[in-house]
Amino acid sequence: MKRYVLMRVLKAIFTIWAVYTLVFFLTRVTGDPVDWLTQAGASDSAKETLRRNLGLDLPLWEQYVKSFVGLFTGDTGTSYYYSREVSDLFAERIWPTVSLGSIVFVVTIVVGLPLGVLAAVKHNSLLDRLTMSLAVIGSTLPNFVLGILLIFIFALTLRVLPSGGTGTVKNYIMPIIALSVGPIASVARLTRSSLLDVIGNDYLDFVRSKGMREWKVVIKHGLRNALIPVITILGSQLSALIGGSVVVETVFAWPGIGTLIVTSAQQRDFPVVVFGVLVIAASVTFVNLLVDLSYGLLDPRIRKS
Amino acid sequence: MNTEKELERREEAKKPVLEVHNLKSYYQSRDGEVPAVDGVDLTLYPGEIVGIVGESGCGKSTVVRSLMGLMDPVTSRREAGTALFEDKDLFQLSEKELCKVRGKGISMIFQNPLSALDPVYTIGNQIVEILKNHERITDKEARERAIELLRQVNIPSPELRLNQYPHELSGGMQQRVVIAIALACNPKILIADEPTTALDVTVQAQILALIRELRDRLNIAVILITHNMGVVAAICDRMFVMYGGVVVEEGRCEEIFSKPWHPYTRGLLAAIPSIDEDKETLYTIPGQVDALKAPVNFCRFQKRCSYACSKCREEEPELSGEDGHLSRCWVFSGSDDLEQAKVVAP
Amino acid sequence: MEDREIILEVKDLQKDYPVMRGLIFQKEIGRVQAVNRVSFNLYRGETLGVIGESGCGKTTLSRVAMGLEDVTSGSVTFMGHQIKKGMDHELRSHIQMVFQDPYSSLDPRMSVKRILEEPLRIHSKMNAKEKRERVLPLLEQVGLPEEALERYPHEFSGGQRQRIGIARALILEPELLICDEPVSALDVSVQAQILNLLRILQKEKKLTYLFVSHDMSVIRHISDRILVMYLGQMMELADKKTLFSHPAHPYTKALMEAVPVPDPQVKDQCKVLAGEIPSPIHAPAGCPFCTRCPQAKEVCRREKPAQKEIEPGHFVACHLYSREETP
Repeated sequence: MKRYVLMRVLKAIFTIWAVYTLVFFLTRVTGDPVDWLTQAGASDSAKETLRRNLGLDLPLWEQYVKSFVGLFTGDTGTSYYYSREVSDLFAERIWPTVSLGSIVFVVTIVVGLPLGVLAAVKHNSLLDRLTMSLAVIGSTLPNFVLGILLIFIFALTLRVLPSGGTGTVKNYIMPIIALSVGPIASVARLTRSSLLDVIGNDYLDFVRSKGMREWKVVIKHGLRNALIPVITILGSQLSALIGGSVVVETVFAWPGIGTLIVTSAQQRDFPVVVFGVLVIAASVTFVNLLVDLSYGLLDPRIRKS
Repeated sequence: MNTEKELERREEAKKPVLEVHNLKSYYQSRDGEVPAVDGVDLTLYPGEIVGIVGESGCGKSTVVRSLMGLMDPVTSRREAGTALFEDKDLFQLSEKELCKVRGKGISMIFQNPLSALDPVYTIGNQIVEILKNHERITDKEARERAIELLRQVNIPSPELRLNQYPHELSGGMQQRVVIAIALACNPKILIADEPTTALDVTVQAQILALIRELRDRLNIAVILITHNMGVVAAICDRMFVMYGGVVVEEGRCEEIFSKPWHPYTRGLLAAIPSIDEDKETLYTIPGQVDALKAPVNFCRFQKRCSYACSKCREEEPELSGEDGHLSRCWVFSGSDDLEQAKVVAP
Repeated sequence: MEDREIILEVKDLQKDYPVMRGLIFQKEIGRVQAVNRVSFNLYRGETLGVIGESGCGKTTLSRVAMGLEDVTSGSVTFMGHQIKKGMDHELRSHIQMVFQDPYSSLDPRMSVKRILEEPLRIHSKMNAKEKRERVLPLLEQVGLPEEALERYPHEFSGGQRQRIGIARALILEPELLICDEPVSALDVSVQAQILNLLRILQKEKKLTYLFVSHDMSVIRHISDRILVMYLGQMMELADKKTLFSHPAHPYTKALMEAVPVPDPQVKDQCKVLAGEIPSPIHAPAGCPFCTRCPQAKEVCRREKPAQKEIEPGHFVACHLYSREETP
């Protein structure tokens, strides 16, 4: 088991490095940031000075090594546009993103799991069919489309919610809905099918024949076993959430790292984009690592081998 | 088995521990209702082992699953019946009341012990669960009781087993654990649904011996579901032969095995290859089990029966006979009938 | 017996499986001996029953004999030809198999006609009419109506499906039929039909059977000679009469005594043999049965007993017989 964990961690680190390297070189292909930062008629010498100041005159590999080493020495580079330390920029933007993400994650579990359980327990009932039809719609609707739809209805037509920004509880409502409908739908559907598989098993009948109450049978034995595949989908949902928040944040003008990355990409602010992608890649890999390791905790049959 | 001892036991406990009357359980299918169990009466006395035998689809498992309330309410329904246990009708109990009977009054064990145990909890956890469900008991006491229970079903080093998971035990050990759990709260009745079918022969012998031993020691009543006539002969006192959702023959094992009345029972016994005699060709029952639809107003076996007459096709026979040996047949419902028809017992 | 034609010769057959550990870089940490030093001859026209409990190697034995797996050492020869994976088509068509589960061994998307004609298509160049001429009489022999041809496996009961399975195995007119628990999934009355059918077919077509089962009464009914296996090793081999009238190996005796007999008059049913079958990974060093044998001695734990012919045609691997001792 220890060996397994170590191997997984090493693999995760390699993945993050690979993504970092790929994005570093890909951004350089998109064009020259100096063109963006200087005014239309700027002289070549002014451009040259700026380029030297930004360190863009160095050969590509030197830029790469410098930036890579910087990650370990705490020097994350300076934003071309904001002229500030990249890590500082992220530090002030991370909180809105994390707070939104965690609320969405909690909402997904709190709503999705019970919905799935209910649909499974009352399978083939009206409730089941209704929930599952909604779930199909929910999981096929892209979150940014849903976001725009919500803005149109609640902000522009009904005028009950602010269309963007942050600060009040009301600001949270629409981004949370836009981001959580998809994951809720997937989690509910998977919980239902996974629980239905488990419900067919002898051990639930055996637990019933021990005299356990039905809800205890379903929660303690049914759900516990059904959770193993659900955890996987939760993990991938969380990864998608981290990625998806980039777009949804832009839709709602949410001052998080998502908006930061999108605007920086438009402005060819390389250090910000590269660092942003690094943060996202690291979080996704970390989540996947957690999911893999949690199998062992949930399923003793895997733990031993 | 042990006729005298058994009679003695019956003498002291004349009062049945379970009385099932006219149990009907129907399944919903695309072309109507399937009478999986269609009017079964069953009386069980303390300390006896009763076998229910029959081939797949005869309704033997449905009988006990209905008793335990384990039928899927979406696809099946109980059409009629009462089941008296400790002066209460099991079928009239609320879920809460039924949960007090399950595990404490009546316990059940299953065919495949590995799938009967929850894979993600330890053995100890699963034993403690039933104890805490029915009794006010501390964790420490429950653990001690669990060790005692494992010892009672002859599991070596029970202290170590408590922390193991089901998949770490062999099939025989798993079935012992299942039995230990079933017996945890001293139930009056143990229902065993094909308890040895998934096990090897030598392990089957161990489990059967254990069931017999526990019956002798705890005076528990056992309902044993099986398709194996050998298992019935080995440990049961009385037996019920089921076909098409009804009991076609019932009585003491010695009587049924030596003088089976119903043509189906006779066919079933003759079809078993014998371990100590050689036959060139085995007897076979012609045809196959028919899909039935409720209501049934003919003998369910008549299509495959070589003695069937017009009456068999028009009216369903009742269980009749003498001295507790009953048969559901127009032609054979007594020893004399066999002689008259010049039938030799297989 | 010696003058009868040997159709299948198994000599010192050994089949190991590696036990792997590790998730990314798998490493072999040991070997399980699924079949260990098994030798026997199969004579034309007879039925050799192989009996044993789980992990005894009977299924591996049948797979190796079928050429589905290669031997680790030793040899399996069918009428002078080595049986192995990738042996030629012609040879393969002489050995066919009937499987345990009639539900999963037939392709649900193929009609019975296609199921039965498939082997002909692969092994011969018959035209449609010739194929039909081969299929029809066989269908009748296994007791299925002609209409069955156009139907699909799910439309049949378990017994009928096993009949289809048998017909498929016989379509290429094999000489050796390997039956791997062919009646274990069936009800008693259907089981009897299939056993009778196998007997009749054997007589009509002069087939040789290697019949694997865990059910003593089925083995007794169908076999001429019986091979008893335990944890991959051969315990005893004798003709049926000898084996049942005076079984020599303590395991054979225990196995017979453990079978419940459908007769309540028989006292002392299901004699209990203590202990459990050890996992093949932790097989004992000496006789595999020594952990449960009531007659085990010191030597049984140390050394594997050699196979000994205690009377003509009756082989036993037990230390009770290896040193001029009588039990």
